[in-house]
Order: sequence, then structure tokens, then C-alpha cells
Amino acid sequence: MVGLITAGADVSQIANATIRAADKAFTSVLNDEGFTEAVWLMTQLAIAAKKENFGEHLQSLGVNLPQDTSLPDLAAAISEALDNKLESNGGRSDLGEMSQRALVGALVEHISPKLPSLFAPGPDDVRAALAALGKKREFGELSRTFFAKLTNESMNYFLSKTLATHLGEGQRFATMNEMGQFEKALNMHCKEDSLIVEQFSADWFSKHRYEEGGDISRESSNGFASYALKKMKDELKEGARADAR
Amino acid sequence: MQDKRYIICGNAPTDGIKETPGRDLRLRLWGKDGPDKITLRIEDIHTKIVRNVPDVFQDLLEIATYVYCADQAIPRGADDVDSFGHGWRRDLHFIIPVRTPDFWNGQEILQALCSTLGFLSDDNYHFEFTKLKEAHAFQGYLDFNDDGRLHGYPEQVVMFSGGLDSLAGTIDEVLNEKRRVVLVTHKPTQKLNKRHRRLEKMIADKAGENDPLHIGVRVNKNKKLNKEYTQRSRSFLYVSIGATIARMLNLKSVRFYENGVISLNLPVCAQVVGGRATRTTHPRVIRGFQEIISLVAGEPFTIENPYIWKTKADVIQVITKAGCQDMIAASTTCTHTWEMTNHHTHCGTCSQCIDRRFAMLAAKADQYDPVEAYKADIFTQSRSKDEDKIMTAAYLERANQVREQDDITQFIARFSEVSRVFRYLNGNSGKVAQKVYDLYKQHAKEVCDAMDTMVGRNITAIRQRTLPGDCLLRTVYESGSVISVPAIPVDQKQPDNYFRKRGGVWAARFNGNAEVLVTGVDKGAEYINFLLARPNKETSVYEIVCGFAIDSCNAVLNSNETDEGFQVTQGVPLGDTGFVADRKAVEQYRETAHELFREIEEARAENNDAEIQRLEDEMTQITAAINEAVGLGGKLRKSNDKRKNIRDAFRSAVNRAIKYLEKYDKPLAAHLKESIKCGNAPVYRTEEEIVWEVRPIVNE
Repeated sequence: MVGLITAGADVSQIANATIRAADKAFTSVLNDEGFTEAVWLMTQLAIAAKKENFGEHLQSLGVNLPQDTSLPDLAAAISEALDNKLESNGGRSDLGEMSQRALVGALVEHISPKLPSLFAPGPDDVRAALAALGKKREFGELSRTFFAKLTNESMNYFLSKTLATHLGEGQRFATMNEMGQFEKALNMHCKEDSLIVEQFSADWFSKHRYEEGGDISRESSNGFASYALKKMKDELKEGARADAR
Repeated sequence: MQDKRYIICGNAPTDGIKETPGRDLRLRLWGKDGPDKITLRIEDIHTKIVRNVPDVFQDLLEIATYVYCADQAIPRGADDVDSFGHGWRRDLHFIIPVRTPDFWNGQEILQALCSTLGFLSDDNYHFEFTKLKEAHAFQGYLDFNDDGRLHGYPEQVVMFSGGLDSLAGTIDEVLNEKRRVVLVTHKPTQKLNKRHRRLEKMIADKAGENDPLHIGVRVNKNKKLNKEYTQRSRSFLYVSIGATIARMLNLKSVRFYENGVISLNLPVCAQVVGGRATRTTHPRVIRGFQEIISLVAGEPFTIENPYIWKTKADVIQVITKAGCQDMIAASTTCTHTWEMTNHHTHCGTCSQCIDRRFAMLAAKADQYDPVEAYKADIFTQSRSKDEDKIMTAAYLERANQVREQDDITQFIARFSEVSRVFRYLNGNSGKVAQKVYDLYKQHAKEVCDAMDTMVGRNITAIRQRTLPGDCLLRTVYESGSVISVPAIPVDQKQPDNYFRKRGGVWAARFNGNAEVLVTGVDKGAEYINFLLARPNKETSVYEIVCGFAIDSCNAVLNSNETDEGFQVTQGVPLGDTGFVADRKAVEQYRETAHELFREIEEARAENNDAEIQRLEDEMTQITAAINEAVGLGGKLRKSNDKRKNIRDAFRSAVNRAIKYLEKYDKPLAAHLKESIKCGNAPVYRTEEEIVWEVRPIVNE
């Protein structure tokens, strides 16, 4: 991987090498509580969207929203719910932390365009925006953003100690700008590769909600988390292939 | 997470615990000296302020001391990424004897302790409190030092670290607000004593009658207990001491002064997850401390950070506006205290030093902070240590990223860690989010402005390139410069098919697809390159392998090549050896042997013993070569051991390279598999002619 970086390999090839090098680490944390909890919360937000007792359902998950919820409130509530859950069972982990960041970031990115105002939404604005998550397509898009962010965070997690050591005249990144451009390209690469998760997530959500009578079980959610991550990893491995373009 | 560890404190019983001496830890605040003995000393206490301290506060002090010492005595595992930081987090089970076990075993206080300390240090905490059998007098912790300066009871307890932020807070309290304060200083190392005393004297000189009271606190322990440098729990000890002193003074609050950027401490890079970013004064931690102390006090107690909405540059301006700029040089910000010397009081490379340098420039106060005090100048010096490069680059990159955010939504989505702050600061989440965003935008602007200032000051050295190529100023300034562009412009039309060496690695492209860089399979790549250069020409595998062996020797001998820029050279890596059959090689051996016989006869005729010796050596080698090539009955040997080894090694090397290529470019790998024949006389042969560019791009 270091050889590829110094040699000036393109983003897709470095991403491929990184994910291969990290495969063992990923495999060992596939059942990471932080990761599966974040995916569980994501599915349950979508399930709650179609429920009459929307607020109660969220409260049962530890997501406490005030009456006039703003987007920062939602972000804080999701963070707090995940923190509290992992705090009580000692499940803190690096992948869990990255999953938390990815979920909060994905939700903010997904919901903010649907709100008329960020800070002073009407009583039902955030709820209306969240309610849309119950649609198959919307869930697919949110899931894609989540996995794109998680993958990018993970890539940077593995690479960040290496990249900056190749900074300076005559090195892989002669300037800060070049390193910044590389990081942007890596982010874009993860976004592009996450396309494969979108349709899969949408179909999975629709099928399971139907089969499980309007709910989704924890077991199903865990299975989805693990398989979606595997799809993402496989796509990154494929991504560097010339015939995949 | 690491395996469970017990920390058995004082004379706590260990009934029912399966103690593992190698893993578990014993600590004693009382009793005879030994390797597990720790001491807490609160110095310079005035007799007039000592009142009865409730048992529960004495318990708090002891609990905080045990937690702080265990934090340093139990190492974290490697924070390497290969295991997703598995060893970083510890599972700590404390058994602590206390005066008021019923209170401490209460659900509310246990929850507050575990939650706050867990978030603060990223560890898992469990507490079990037992009844302290021999209660010890609180006075045992105190060192009295009455000098008659206490003119009245202080109004406020301020935590004073000797850094810029707490200095500015003290100046605000003592000089601007004219309040009587007591400064509580934790003294982690002797190295800081002299600097602290100097700063205290400077404050006293300015304050006159309103001279603040200083109280120093030390925790001493056996050196063998100093194993972990992170010390995340130090602020718990710090606040516990401050709160106990406040209680002695009948006060109900303690103040930390820490700028908001450091306090909120958004991770600088992806690898900084969770508690890897220090949360010493994170708003959630401060709220947790407040809850703990309020429960201990049995009434509301506040922990405040009045500088939460200031940047470090703002803080410095508090100092300069008060006319106290001479105190700046006496303050200490650096966290690498082990690097501190009389000449270099700051390392210049840790995150705190970097933040200080940028803030000084942003506040236009760097003239009061001599650069000579820094062991390394982050702007103009080369950074040899990898961690120094990473830290500086990450700091600057974060400022760049924040500066690029167009609105608060982007900011929260990009730095979603910030959502952990919203509910722990006063005001609704929306307003708090806006203030956090504004704070970080301001900080990003200050960092960029400081950078511009330093570029301006050093423009001649940058232009003349007299500064090191990896110093911060050049890597930033030259971001738009042509030196970052390779000698072969990226937009130059590249051949559709190439398999060539580029610098230190092999680069391949097939049918106009994306380039694949080949690493880790150099030998196979070299062989493939050789064959592609000679389509349809069978070549002796031994010739190829031998040729590359010689080439490898040459590469070692000619290793002093320059390392700048690239250019296309003429020719292939090896000379054009053409087609040579094994039988021809044997014929060559025979002719050479005949020639040697003739030469040896001539040498004998001339009695030239030295020449005879040389020719005999050569004949030995030729004989060995002929014996290798020719079998019984005058037939060519087909597959004796060493020859088979060479063929197998060649095939394996080529196959490894093809397998590597298969990961990135299946069609290319398939084409090579189909077109390359190994064996005695490897060849690259295709039905349709493909023109390959095989000339290396080597260093000029």
C-alpha cells in the first residue's frame, strides 16, 4: 500500500489495496456493536416513519426528540442514543465511533434539503422529513450515504497516518494541495462505489418490512449490516479493475 | 477492549475476586511505603481557610486520586489500526474503601461516575465501594504555608494550569473584574515549578493587594507506576481538588478557563476517534463533573468554562489588552513536558504548540512569544518525525476543510462529532450549533490568516527555495506551483498499451484502460516486459534469468541515481540479445573450450605460469557449464534439477505478476495468460499484433 502511494497510484488502486489490507480487521469486527447498532437505528428510523406512534417508537430506541425538533436536535439525539447504548454495555469501538459519525452525517445530509428552515422548523417539519424515510427509495439513498461515509471514514482511518508522511518536495504529495485533492478523490471514489448499496438497501428494506409485518427484527438488521458492508468491500475491490469501469 | 482489570485500593478486601497479580493493580494512599504507595499533597494551604471537610468530599478526593493513578499505571494497548484500536480501551474495575459507602454505591452517583469517566477517557469503568475501616484525617493531605497574605476570603476557585487560557482567565478575574480568587494548580512535573513561580510572581506584581492565593497539588507515586502518558482522567482529579477547596471556602463553583476550539476538540483526522481526542474540558465532561460534585455536595454546584466561545487568539487578546503581554513568554502550553529544557520550553510540534503559534500570529502578538523558545519551528523547519508531519498537516487541513464549508449543515454532516456537544451547552441545540459553527469558522480564518502572514514574511526564502522542501511554508505556498507537476504532463497522450518501469515501480496499461501500478512482483513484471519487447521471438529462459541477475547486480552497483523528475529514455532494460537456442549455447561452449586448449598450449610454450593458471580456471567453468548442458550419450539435458528450478522460478514469477494484475485489470491478465508461453524458450505471441510501449521512464 505504501509502495502504491509513493508510486503515485490512482485512488481506486489505493482504495483496493487498503481494503484488502484491512480485510482481516473488518472481518474481526463484522459484529461490532457500534456498527450494528447504527444500522439498527437507521432501519428503525425508517420503520418509525410509517408508525402512528412515531415519537414513542423513537423513544423506545433511546432517541429523545423535543417538541420543536431542529436538525441539530435530531443529530444530538441520534448521537446520544448511540452513546448511551454502547456506554451501558461497554461496546465502544473505533468502528462504532465511525459508524456513529457516518449515521449522523448521513441523516443531516439527507434531511436538510427537505427542511424549510434549519433552526426554527415548524412542529411537523422534521417529522415530515423523517416520515419520508419510510419510502423504499429514500431508505436506499440514506443507506447509500451512510455506507459511503463509513467507507470513506474507514479508508481515511487506515490511510491518514501514512499519507502525510509522504508530503514534501520530491515526494508523493509535493504540496498540501495535492494531498487534499487525493483525499477528495478518495471521498468521491467511495461515493461512486456506494451506488451498489443503494438499490440493494431499498429492495431489502421493502422486502423485509413486508415479510415482517411492518417491522424489521434486530436479527434481520444485523444480517443487512453485515451483507451491505461486504457488498461495499467487494465493490471497492472491483473498483480498481479496468473492466469494471 | 482489553480484558478486565481490578484496581484494589487501600485495604479493600478482595473476597470473591480472582486476583491476577500480573494484571491487577494495588494502590494505597495510606499505610507503609512500598511500590504501590501513592501520595496526594495539597500545598500552600492557609490555616484560615481550612474548615471541616465532609467525609464525602474526602472520599471524592481519594477516589479521584486512585482513578488518576490507575489511569497512568495501566497502559493502553497499541492504537494501531490493524485491530480497529482493540487494545486502546481498558476495562477497569475499582474496589475502593470509603467513609460513606452507601452514598457512593447509590445508583445515581455510580451512573454519573461511570458515564462521565467513560466518555472522558474512552475506558469502561466499574466501581465497588467498601467501608473504610480506618478513617484517615483530611489534614494528612495538607501542607500549610501561612505567609499572612490572605486579606479576605476568595470569591472564586479558578483552575490554573499555567497555560495561556488559564492565565487569561486569571487576568480577567483578578485584574479586570477585581475579584479575589484562589488558583489551584496541579503540578505533574518538577520541570514546571520554576515557570509557575515566575508567572505567579508576575501576576502578584500586577495584582497588588488583590494578589490571588495559589494552591499547588501533587500526586507522587513510584516511577514503575508511570506507564501510560495519555492521562485522560487528570481533569477529574483536578476538579475534585478544586471542588474540595471551594467547599472549604464555602463556595459553590469552580472555573476552568479553556478556549472553545480546544474544549470541543473536534477530531483533526479520521484516525482520531472517540477518546483519542482529549476531552478534558469537553462540555459533556464538564456537565458530568457538575452532576458528580452536586451529588457529593448535596446541593447545586457549578463547573464553568467562561471561554467556551473564544478561540485561542481571542484568549491572547485578553492578555494583551490587559497590558500583560510580558506574561506570555512565562506561560507554558506544550504537552510534551519530557522534551522541555531551559532553552526550549516548547517542543513546537505537539498539537498545543501548533495551536499556540498560529494563535499568536492571528492575535498579532507573536513578538511576545520568542520563536527561540520552540525546539522546532513548524513553519520553516523540516519535520523529520512522521508524527510531526501528520499532526501539522492534519491541523492545517482541518482548518481548510472548515473554511470550505458553505453552511452549517455541511459542517455538521462533515464533522458530525460536533453533535455530541449540542445538548451540553446552554441554549437550544439550533443556537448552540450556530455558535459552534461560527467559532470554528473564526478559528479556520485565523489559521489561514496566520499562514498568509508567515508566507508574506518568508516569501524571499520560499522563492529562492532556501527553506526545506517539506517545511510547512513550502508545502502550502507551492500548492499551485509547477514543481508539483510531473515532468510528463498528465494530459499528454499516453500509448494505449504499455508495460514499463516508471520510477521505482512498474506501470501497465492495456487497450487504453486505466493504468495499473504493479508493486511487490517486480521480477515477474521484468520478465513480462522483456517478452513484450520481443513479440514472437523465443528466448532461452536461462538467458533471460541470467540477464536479469546481471542487471540486478548492475542496479545495486549503480544505485546513486538522482531522484528528481522523469524522462523517457531509449532502449529496453536489457540490450537486444536476440534469439539464442540452447544448442547454440553448447556449440559456443565447445568452441570456447577449443580456443582455451589452443591458448593453453601457447602459454605452456612460453612458460607463462600465470596465464596457464587463468586459462585452467576458465576451463573449469566451461567444463562445468558443458556438463550442466550435455547429458549421457551426447544429448542435451532436458530437465535436470537446476535447470528445472530456473524454469519453474521464471514461470512462478510471471504467474504471480499476472495474478496481481488480475485484481485490477482482468482483460490484461487474461491476455497475458493466453499469449505468454513459458518453458525452456519463453515467448509472447499473439494472433493480432499489439504494439507495446516498453521503454522505461527513469529518473533523469
